[in-house]
Amino acid sequence: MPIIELRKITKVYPGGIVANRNVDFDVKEGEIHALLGENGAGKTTLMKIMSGGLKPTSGEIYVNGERVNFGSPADALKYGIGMVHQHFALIPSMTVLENLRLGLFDRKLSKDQLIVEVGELSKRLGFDLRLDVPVDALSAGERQRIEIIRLLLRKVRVLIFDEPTSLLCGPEIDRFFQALKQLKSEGHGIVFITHKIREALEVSDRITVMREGRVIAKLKRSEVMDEEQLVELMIGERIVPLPDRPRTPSDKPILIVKDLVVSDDLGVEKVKGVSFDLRAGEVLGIAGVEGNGQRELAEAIAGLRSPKSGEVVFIGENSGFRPSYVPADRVELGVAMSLSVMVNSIIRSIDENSKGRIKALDFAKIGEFAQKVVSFLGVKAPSLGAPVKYLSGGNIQKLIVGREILKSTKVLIAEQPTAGLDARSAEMVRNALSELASKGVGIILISSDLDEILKLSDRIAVISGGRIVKIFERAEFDPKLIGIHMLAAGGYMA
Amino acid sequence: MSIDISGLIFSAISLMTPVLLAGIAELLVERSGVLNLGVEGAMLIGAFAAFMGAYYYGDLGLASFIAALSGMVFCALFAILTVSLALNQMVTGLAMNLLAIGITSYLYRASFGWYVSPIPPHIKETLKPIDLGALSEMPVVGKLIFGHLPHTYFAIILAIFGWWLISKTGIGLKIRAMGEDPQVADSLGINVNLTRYTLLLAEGAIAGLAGSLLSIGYYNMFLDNMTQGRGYVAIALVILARWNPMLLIAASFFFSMVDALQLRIQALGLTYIPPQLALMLPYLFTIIVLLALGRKVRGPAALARSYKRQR
Amino acid sequence: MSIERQVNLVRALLALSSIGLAFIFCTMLITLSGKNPGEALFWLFYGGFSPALIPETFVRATPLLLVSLGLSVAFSAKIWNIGAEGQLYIGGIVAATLALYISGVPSPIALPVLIVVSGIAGALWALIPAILRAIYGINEVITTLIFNYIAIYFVSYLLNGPLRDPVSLFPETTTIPDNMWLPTVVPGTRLHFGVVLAFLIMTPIMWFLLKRTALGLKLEILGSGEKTAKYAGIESVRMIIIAMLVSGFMAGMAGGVEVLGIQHKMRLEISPPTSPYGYTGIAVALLGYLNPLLIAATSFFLGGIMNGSTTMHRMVGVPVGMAGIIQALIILFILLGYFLEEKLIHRIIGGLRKVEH
Repeated sequence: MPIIELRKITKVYPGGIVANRNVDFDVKEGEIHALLGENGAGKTTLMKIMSGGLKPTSGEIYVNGERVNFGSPADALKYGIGMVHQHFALIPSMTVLENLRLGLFDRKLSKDQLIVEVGELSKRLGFDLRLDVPVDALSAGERQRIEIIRLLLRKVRVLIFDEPTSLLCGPEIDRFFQALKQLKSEGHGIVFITHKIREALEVSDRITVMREGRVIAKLKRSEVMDEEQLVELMIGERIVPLPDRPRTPSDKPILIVKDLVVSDDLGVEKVKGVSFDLRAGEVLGIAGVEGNGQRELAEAIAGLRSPKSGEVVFIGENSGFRPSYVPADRVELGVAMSLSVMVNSIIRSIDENSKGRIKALDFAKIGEFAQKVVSFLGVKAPSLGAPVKYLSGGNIQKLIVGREILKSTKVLIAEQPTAGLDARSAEMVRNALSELASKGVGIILISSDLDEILKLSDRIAVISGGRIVKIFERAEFDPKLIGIHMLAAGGYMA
Repeated sequence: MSIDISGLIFSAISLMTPVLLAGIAELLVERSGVLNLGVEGAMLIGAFAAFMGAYYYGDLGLASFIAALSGMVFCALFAILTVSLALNQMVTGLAMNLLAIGITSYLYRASFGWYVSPIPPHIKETLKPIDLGALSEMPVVGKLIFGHLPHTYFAIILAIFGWWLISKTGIGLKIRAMGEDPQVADSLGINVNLTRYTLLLAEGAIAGLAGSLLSIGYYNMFLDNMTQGRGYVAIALVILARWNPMLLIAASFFFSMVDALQLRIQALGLTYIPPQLALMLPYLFTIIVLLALGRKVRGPAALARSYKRQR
Repeated sequence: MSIERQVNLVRALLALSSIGLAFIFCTMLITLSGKNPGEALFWLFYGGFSPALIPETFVRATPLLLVSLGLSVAFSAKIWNIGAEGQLYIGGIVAATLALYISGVPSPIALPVLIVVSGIAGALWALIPAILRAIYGINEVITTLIFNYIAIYFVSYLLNGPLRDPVSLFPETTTIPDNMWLPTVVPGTRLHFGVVLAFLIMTPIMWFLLKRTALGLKLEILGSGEKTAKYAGIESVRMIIIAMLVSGFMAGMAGGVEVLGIQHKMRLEISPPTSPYGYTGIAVALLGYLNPLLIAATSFFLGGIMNGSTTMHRMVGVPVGMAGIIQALIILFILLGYFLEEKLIHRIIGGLRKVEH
């Protein structure tokens, strides 16, 4: 008998969007169950329902054959169901121990008992948690381990992971899979939400494929023939592969970064002396484990963060030059949520879109540009005047990417440009980036998706511990070697 | 001319009571991520309710109870608007304060006649200090720390309790967590709204009590808008104290020293310091200290941000 | 109907029902205190909006409008300048003092100078809270509120001390000479040039500034989020200071215009104690959705309510404080309206999305 079973779950959001239609799903003891699907297929919604974060519009939930209703995640935890979200539920300014204590709910444990128990759990799973450091200072992998320990402290039997590998890389992913296998051997049921087929195949015992809110297929691992089969199930049709473009980057650098040192908001040095140059018409991929200084590097080059020392020089541009920049944090940074699509399409070039000494906005020009941005990647918006907050996440991402590409500056920094996009849109974005490079724009591509970096880049710089440890030329590209370098130079951030 | 230092300290301790009471209540509320400007209005409502209670029932204990209760009702309304409906905390607080000013002055006139007479209605008795007999005979400190209103001791005990609660207990940890990130706290099974409601209701009661000191403790009458921004000062003192209850006691004391000094200046009729300038001193003091300490302040990350639960 | 139209319609309905609800509450309060609500409301509207009294309503609305135009600039950037009251007092005292000092200067030169200088005085008064907010990150609500007390005590000191008219029984300055008065534009009324300045000059200017210039857009982006503003290349420190200075300038100017146009001297009662211009302006700005054109209309409306409540007081004996209660309730209901607006608009959008699928 499964530990938990969902029957005929339908979820309609207040806005009228149907996220799940008549979905059946279950998790058994001692199995890893992959939930595979594109972005927007309804995977996260389903798992939030299973873990008490959302209420289904209709349908039933059974734990050990007993009908239950979850009013909150806390309710679900009482039945032993817990979820690790994409955005970790940790308070960054508090220590690891405080964060663990917060997650105990009604479980009473003294501090000493807690430390002992955490020690035991860590040992079993091969974790090495430092308890008295603030979470701020930890890498994504370490944060994930805190979340796992916290769920185990609550004696959960089912652990749900939402895209757990999206912030991890190479060996950190392996480490995570090791922990999953350990949990499985201890009899836990595990749900692994992902859109990465290879990972699903690597660890899971069962695979459920979702598309447009429906379950398309339920397969045992042994029933899967090949990746192609899963791709077809997920997407329904073939993706057009990236054309093999003959790109010829020039030798002329357009951006020189020299001995750059950058601190984060808390004053911790995250970029520790980085030097490289970017040539016109090339895509320079920056590969690395999340939190190794990529964001600070991007922000420093984009002019959002002043470096502690070192130089960023754009050849042939004056000192006020700001490159195009697609930030990873689209909601907090990339758009003004309460303002219109139109305004958001020129948010980084307001002065260029105004006339005269009083800087009156040139609405004809703005409207024209906004229309271009919207049609470029097919942003779905009620109208140009509608506030961006009424757009879905994917459409906001398309708006930002489109805007930054169309702005036509000579340098573009793209941080996680395809995050949150479905496969087709992601492919569109990749094609657009590639095309932009062939027009002579220099692109810095920061992505946690190594496949994406390998596909698009002319060179790959590996960043680790705030330093560029090696730059690979296209001829030398080797995923394994790149992975090893990601963990070189003292491994991931301490 | 000489200013009697121990007398000054005595009045500072006495005067600090309302701002410390309101301040510690506000501090706890702010640690949970809510900025309640309505503390000013709750004090005013408390002052009014206490006066009415004392005037009509002649019982100061009952009057204090009514003050606390009405402060609580007032803050409950604020809680409904900002916690349940997630309205803008700052604007709601301000509007509530305007409402408090309007309602108290309206009801005052509705009760005592539409035209305020030259001799405003007053009560015969005001709150009495605790008589600790022999203790107050102790040399030097005896006179300073004994012989205050019970509220004063309550305020100090409350501040120390607040410190213990915030920094030493599991509940404090939860309060701090929701002040940093209510969404995360919620996902960890912490009942954010219930906690915030509880803290706000407690704040209402305490602020109502603090306000009652003005109308039935220090004075024996009610005046329009008689809190004169003391609630706002309490909020400023919380910033000065960097959200630390122990520092809040110190901040309230120093503020009240200036206030006591200002009253003394007026009482002595020192002609070279006009009374209006003297009245200005405590406010000026607050701003100057804010300017001096400004840079080092970091409050709860989610302070004054509306939090709406996603379901 | 386009989405913007629907949003505006929802807003208009909500604003109107906010006003309606505020009145219903007040009617209840009046009834409870034993007065005839019908009679009271009649005098309220008669005093505010009967044709003969309309000019007086414009006069009352003028400082209110100037204050709230300024506030709309700050509020757009989500800078909650609550210090307009103090800034208005400072503007007023500076205008009165300077007018007495330069009374020999010909009016065409003196009057514009006086108006601008009173604005600058208000702006400077807003500067310290602006700096505390922009650089130290200290909540401007608290500091501007405290600055109000400082301003009012300070002005009170000046009016009782060095600037007091020696022959007056009240704490006020000497009356300024009539060549320093703002000229009346319609003979037989008190409609002075300040009314024209507020309604016909400053309103369009502020509308243009907020809705049609790069500066206005940058302020709105800042209001939408400081991180986004930084990403958009907006210097938030500069913008916060500009927003505070502009709103301080407008509040100071309101004080100056009130002194030069109506009071002709500085007095402590320059702002009506029961519904002070500086605080009422907050209600006006919010009720007008921070849109200067709507704000002009709301100022007129609330100006009428203020005048009407005086009439109501005189005729039926309902305290003038009623105007204050109405304003507070209007703000609260408007806030509730914002809450409902979100819900309703989500529904509209939801409808659209469904069509999309």
